Amino acid sequence: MESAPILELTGLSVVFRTHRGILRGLAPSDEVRALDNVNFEIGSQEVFGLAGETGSGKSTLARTLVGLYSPTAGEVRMLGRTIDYRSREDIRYLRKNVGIVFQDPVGSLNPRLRVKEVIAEAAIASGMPLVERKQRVEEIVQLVGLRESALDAFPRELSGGEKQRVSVARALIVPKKLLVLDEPTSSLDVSVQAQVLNLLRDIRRKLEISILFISHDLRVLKYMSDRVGLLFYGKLVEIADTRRLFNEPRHPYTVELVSHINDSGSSSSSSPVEHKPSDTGCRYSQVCPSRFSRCSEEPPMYSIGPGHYAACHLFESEPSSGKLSGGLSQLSAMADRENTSN
Amino acid sequence: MNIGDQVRQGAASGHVVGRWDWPGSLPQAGSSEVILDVHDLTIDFNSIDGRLRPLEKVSISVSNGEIVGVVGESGSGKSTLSLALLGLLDSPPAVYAGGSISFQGTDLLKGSMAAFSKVRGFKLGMVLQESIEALNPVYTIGFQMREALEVLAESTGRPIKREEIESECLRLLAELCIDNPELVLTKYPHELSGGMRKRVAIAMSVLERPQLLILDEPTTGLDAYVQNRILSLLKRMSEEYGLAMLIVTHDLVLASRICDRVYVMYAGRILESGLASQVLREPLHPYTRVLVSSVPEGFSDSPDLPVQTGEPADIRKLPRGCKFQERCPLVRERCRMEEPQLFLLPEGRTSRCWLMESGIRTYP
Repeated sequence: MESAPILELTGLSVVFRTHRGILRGLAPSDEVRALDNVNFEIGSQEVFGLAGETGSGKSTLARTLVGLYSPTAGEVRMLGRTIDYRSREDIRYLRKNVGIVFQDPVGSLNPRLRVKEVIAEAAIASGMPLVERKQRVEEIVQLVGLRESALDAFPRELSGGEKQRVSVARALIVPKKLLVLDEPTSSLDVSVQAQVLNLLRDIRRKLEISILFISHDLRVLKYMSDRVGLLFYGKLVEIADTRRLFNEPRHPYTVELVSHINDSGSSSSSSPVEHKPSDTGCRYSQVCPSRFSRCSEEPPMYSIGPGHYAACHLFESEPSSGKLSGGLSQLSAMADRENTSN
Repeated sequence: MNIGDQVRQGAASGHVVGRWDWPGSLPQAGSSEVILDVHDLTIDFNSIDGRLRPLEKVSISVSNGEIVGVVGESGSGKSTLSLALLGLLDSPPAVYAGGSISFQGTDLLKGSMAAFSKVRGFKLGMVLQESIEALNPVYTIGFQMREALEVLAESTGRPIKREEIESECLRLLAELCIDNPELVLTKYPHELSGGMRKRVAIAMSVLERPQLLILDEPTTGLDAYVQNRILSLLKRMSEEYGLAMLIVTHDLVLASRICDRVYVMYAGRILESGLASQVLREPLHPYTRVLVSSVPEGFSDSPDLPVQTGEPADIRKLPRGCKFQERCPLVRERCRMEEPQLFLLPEGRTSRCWLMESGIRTYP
């Protein structure tokens, strides 16, 4: 099933500048590197999982993909077209192809619109004719399993699970190529979460769509994704096939995280340390158990197996086990070049 | 070397300098004296929808040094229970309609609500779900911690020196793995991250050396990593100081990781209870089974999760008979007519299901 990727990110960086005080124009500004040289691609009909703790840049990435933030550096390619974030037309193109479901089902639905209006809004904006729109709303409501009576209700009258169904319906009312789900189930009860996860899997089977699934819950990610990438303070540290990543995690950070979901009783003796990113070199080096002298240099993405990459100097001498998919090896080579030139 | 450095060094090496001492009255960890015994607690809300009953004859107990979990979906009455135990329900509309809350042998429901204020915050600590709400936004963390210690000193009649207060605050924050405690003391609540605030809230609640700590969703909204840290801290406090805890949560994974015993709640009732390892591994109530099987397991090519249709119970329209009947895969005629009692089963387990009437049976 080798086909052109839906989305390609090359060297994507998003930097926020914060200014302080009334002389902010004169003072040098503080920088927050929310995303730093992130490279990956999402294939056709693939579910790509993105994990990371709070502040790792997961939501920044989601928002960049729908044009709410602009990249500071790097490139976003959607269906082979490089998106110019200054061009309204390009942003429109991006939004036409990418649907998004936000984390907070309450805050993301307009409280003054009825559910059917919430869902139809995007269709109206896209200029869909009335007849087609009505039919489409019916289809999509059936797809997401929303009860008929909910259509005339206001969002506040719905339960958490139903609100998320409405969000999914709204994101998909105009057919999309990529669905971005930013922590879609983190505010839901387990039984409702199970319903929503099943719905998303069902959508994946029925529609020809790629999904970027963002979550801090590794169990959920593992259950939903084909491939997983792990962010640590804006840096992609490891990327691999889900099974590979969970069965043989390689980057020390991944090893640490994966061990959390496998251990049942957290031992009382280990008191975990604060995760503070280092300012220079590998961002994980400050807390990394296997750090050595090289870690003061920023590691590039080393290829350590088929489709498996990790940004850690430990794997520098590792013979890569060949047969890489074209796009990714190119990306990684580009990242390598960029890093060595720095 | 100032005290902050000493404390940090101690915490980093695993040896806590000037170990955080608890007053002598605290019993040894492992002694099984019951500290909280709630018997048939019933709460009514007089609302515009009529008289609602968010808690119906709830009985739970917590022993010294034990971590007890109350799990259930939203709307099951878990938070009402934790607030009722603290005497913090708004009244009206809430009314204590029956039962008893016996804390260290005293029934808090006998007499006036003043009984609660005598123990709350001192012997009975709490960590509310929204830690930002637990902290005063206009004072620094340091001010609030000092204030709490001064109040404690006043109430016990044991004067405390300024330096003692300072070192006590720093020591406590360092115990909770907060880097740079001196800096944190000068911060306002909004300047801290969610995980940090939660830990400060926990630090504040143990400042008074409670004997029982009630935590409402201690890690909800925090990412897996911070969650992990908080859990290991709680576990350590329970092991080292014999602090008893009642943890209210919807997260089964959390409950299975930290709790000794759990109660499963639905529609204001206890549906099942027992040792956490047993209840969450081999549930005896269909509801617990639904919950446990809803936790995603395996990879993207694993089968879909077995999902029960229906939403969590709505206490405004509860059915006659078993309250779980509408979502129960094993519902029978009898379940629609009569509500089962909480059957006592071997190994200290209980289950409110007719299937267990004649002892533990395996499910079809």
